[in-house]
Amino acid sequence: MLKIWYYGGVEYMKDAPAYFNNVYEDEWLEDNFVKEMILDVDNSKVISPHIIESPVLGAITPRELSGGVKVLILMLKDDSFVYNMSNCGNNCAKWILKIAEKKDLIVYLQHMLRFTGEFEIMIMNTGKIVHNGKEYVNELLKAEEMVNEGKI
Amino acid sequence: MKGKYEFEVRSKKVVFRFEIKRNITVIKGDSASGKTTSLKKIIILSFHGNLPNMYYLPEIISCL
Repeated sequence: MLKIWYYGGVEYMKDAPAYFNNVYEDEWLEDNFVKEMILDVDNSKVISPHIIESPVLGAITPRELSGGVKVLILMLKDDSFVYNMSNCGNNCAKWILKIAEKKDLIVYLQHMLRFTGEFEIMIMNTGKIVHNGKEYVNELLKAEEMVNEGKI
Repeated sequence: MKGKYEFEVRSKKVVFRFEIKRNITVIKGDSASGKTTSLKKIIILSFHGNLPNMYYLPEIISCL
């Protein structure tokens, strides 16, 4: 399940893309799920763990991947830290939910990332599980109020 | 800040074109849409002095 701390309540990795550049493993890029994420988010094809073909940048290494997809890969492969989901654009939202289907995923968020359709997300600040966009936004607003009032 | 400034940064495969009107500009968008790449190109060009209409480099406060 995806579990979100909104605007407080947890220590998180401040610069996940830079962290990725220093810790990524070649075998991560051999994972078909990772290859699908890179193809969908970056529109780039993984040729080998060291070479990725981008339609805009040409042949790149994993270091030149977008910040958002680096964070997605870390969420999937490295449980050492809580990552800032606000490093990701809205086009990463569906992948975050897919990763959360595989394991419990705790993240930090500081803006309203757009999730569409039906889902199951726990807003850790309030402890409530939300199932759609309307519930999600309402609960994040309550969480923000709690943070502003110093309750978290 | 007075007026507006138009930027165009291009490489062989891509063109970034946008207009800045205020002291603080927030660039947002999907992941891999070119935000960081365009900023890097502007920074490099500014160091080489190839921005004829720029009088100063806007302070980059944060880059998510």
